[in-house]
Amino acid sequence: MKVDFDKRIYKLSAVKEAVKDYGGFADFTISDTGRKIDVSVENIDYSDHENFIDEFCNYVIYKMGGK
Amino acid sequence: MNGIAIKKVKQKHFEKMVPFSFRKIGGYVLIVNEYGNYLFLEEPDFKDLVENGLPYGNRRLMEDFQKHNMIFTKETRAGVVDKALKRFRDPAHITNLHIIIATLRCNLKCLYCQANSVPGSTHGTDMSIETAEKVVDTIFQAPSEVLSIEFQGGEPLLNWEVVKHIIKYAKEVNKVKNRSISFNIVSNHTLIDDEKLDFLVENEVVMCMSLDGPDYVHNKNRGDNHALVVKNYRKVFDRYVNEGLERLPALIGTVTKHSLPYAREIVDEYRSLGSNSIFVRPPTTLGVAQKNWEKIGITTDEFLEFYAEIIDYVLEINHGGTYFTETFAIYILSKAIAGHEPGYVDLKSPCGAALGQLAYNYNGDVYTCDEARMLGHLGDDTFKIGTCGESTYTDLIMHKATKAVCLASTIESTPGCSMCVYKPYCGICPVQNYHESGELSPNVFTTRRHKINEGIMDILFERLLIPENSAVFLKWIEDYVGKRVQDDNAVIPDNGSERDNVPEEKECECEKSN
Amino acid sequence: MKNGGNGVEMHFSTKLFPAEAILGACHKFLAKCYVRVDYDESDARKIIVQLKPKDGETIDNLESEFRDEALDYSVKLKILKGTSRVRDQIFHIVFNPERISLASDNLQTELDTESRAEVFKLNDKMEKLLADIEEEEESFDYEDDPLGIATPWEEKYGQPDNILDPRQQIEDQAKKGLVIPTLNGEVVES
Ligand code: SF4
Ligand code: SF4
Repeated sequence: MKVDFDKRIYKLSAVKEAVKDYGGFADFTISDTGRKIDVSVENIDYSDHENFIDEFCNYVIYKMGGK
Repeated sequence: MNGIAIKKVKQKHFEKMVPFSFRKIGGYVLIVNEYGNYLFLEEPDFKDLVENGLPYGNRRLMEDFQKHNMIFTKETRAGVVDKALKRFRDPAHITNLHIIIATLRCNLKCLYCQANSVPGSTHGTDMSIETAEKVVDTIFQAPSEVLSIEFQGGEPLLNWEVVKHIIKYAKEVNKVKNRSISFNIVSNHTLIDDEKLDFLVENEVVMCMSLDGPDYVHNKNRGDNHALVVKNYRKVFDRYVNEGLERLPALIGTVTKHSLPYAREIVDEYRSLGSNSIFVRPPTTLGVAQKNWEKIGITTDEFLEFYAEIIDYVLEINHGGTYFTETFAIYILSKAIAGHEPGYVDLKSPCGAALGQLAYNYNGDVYTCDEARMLGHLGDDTFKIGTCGESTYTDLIMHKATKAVCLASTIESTPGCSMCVYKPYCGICPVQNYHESGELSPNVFTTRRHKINEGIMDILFERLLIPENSAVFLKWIEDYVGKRVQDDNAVIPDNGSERDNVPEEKECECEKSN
Repeated sequence: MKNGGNGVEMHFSTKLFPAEAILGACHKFLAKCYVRVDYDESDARKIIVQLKPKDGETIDNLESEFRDEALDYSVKLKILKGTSRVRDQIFHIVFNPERISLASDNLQTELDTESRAEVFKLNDKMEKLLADIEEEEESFDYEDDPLGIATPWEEKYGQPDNILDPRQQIEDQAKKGLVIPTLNGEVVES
């Protein structure tokens, strides 16, 4: 599954921190495409994949709080 | 805020203002500057301020802004700096509250017991005389001029010899150290006898006695001992009065599901025992309370409804001419109205962990605070910062857990709190957060503490809008801070007759204020 | 986003609502909603916010609640930025590093003659800081002040009697032990 974050809104460091904290539940790959930060998520160890992504996106916003 | 044209709101409108935040309360806009001064504005005035800048043409409003330190001018500068100094750099009393667990044993088995006590016969959890002396030696390393030693438990009176020894030994050490030292015991008061009472009176030990309300509330939470507790409380109270002791015994209670229908009855019970105050605190989710949560647990909404009922009843009592206070309200409003820092460890930034209090377990282990010690008892020593006899005070204060808790409880840098209108009055608890969510700094809006504190402050500021209530609050604060308080938001009636009814009772420090 | 059908989508102009304000507002909704924030692909001046209540959460007026929060947050951000200069000035005084280090040096030691002198030096510095700020303030642009409110208050209405001179205030603080813990009382009186 893929999800992207616009760099005018999100900081790479927040995305990286979120990936680190969620790393135990899935395999994440981050790529910087210039305007966006693309995150691909594989092998999600949680039954509802979409819900997992929703939680992950919320967590990125939460991590932006301290930035 | 409805109706504001964001297009018109410009940064430059605020250039001469002291940093502030705002919140809509009871049809008005409450604005609070970073250092705790507050002012209620009518909605159109607030709209005008943010859309057009300071209302130079409106002398009344400009004077209000000046009086309440909302603008940074030559005239307000000294007041603002004074406030900021008090708020950020008040160095007084660094680690003055020292909580000693003389034993984990208890003869009761209260449903919510935070202390996670063990049965009365399990002597392995008693503090030894040797450890007790090491604890006292550590306490005297703290720089505070004022030291408050508080015994909690378990039931401290079950390890009476050690409690006595600590008091005697601390007084002996203090002959050289010369600090201002006081002692408190938080006790269930079922074990008090004449010998103990003589010693407590002689050493002016302040007694804090647990009482949750009338028997039909108290006994449900704490077992069938209401009659005995009340009998002993009266005995201790009368003796302290007769001996002319300045600090009389205080009552502390915990709010559970069983309390909810009886707000008025609980206040009346306190009054009937001669108390002139009540301190309403929700039960923490730490300790046995967690296991019994279904039996006694309450939601934040239930707690807030109960709190509002208590405050309204207490105000009604005051309007009727009798002086009676609620302590949590005093702590918050003394910051807002009098710019006084009550030092209540749970409403500080950073919180009182290590900087305000230390907790010493029966075996000499030291924790950042008593809640951290309870967590330790549940098997998690994240906040253990040393051991008496091995660690110096500097080791304790420089421990990485101390630093982490201080950092995590600094409200100014906490996302969400940093923009909140209640920031100068509030406090966040990393230990509770960690216990509830596994994180020291979770999203603050998900925490129980935030919901309760925000709700309590909404209740208080809404009440403060009504002049006859604010007159009552002012009296409380005046009495608490000990000086005449001028609050220009409030209307102060001329006659002072209600003050004649003020009983002599002083507050007890077992309420974690330092 | 997995949308149960009860979510809302809102558009905000970046000119009026910077991304920072939108994210700040989102923060409050994270516990109850799944939130996505993105730029509008077809219009770079628009931010799109999607909110979907989590299972078991019902939020009446989700859209208007969020709009209120975004508006409040935007105003608060402007206040934060607009007052930053005043905040810096205050912090400059309060967190003056020399005072702090002196305070901690003295925390556990008796005040000897040498550090007494230090305290006096320190108060000099404080005076200078306040004087600097006063000077800076002279250069404020009072163009927006047709009624002359920015003219010192006492020139217009007389000195309010409850307001102390800043230096006096600092000395009073010292007396109360607020500048240097436990020690300044002696200094000021001597
Ligand atoms: S905990 Fe809640 S009420 Fe307290 S300052 Fe933070 S956001 Fe405000
Ligand atoms: S960590 Fe929590 S319980 Fe401990 S002192 Fe801080 S606020 Fe109080």
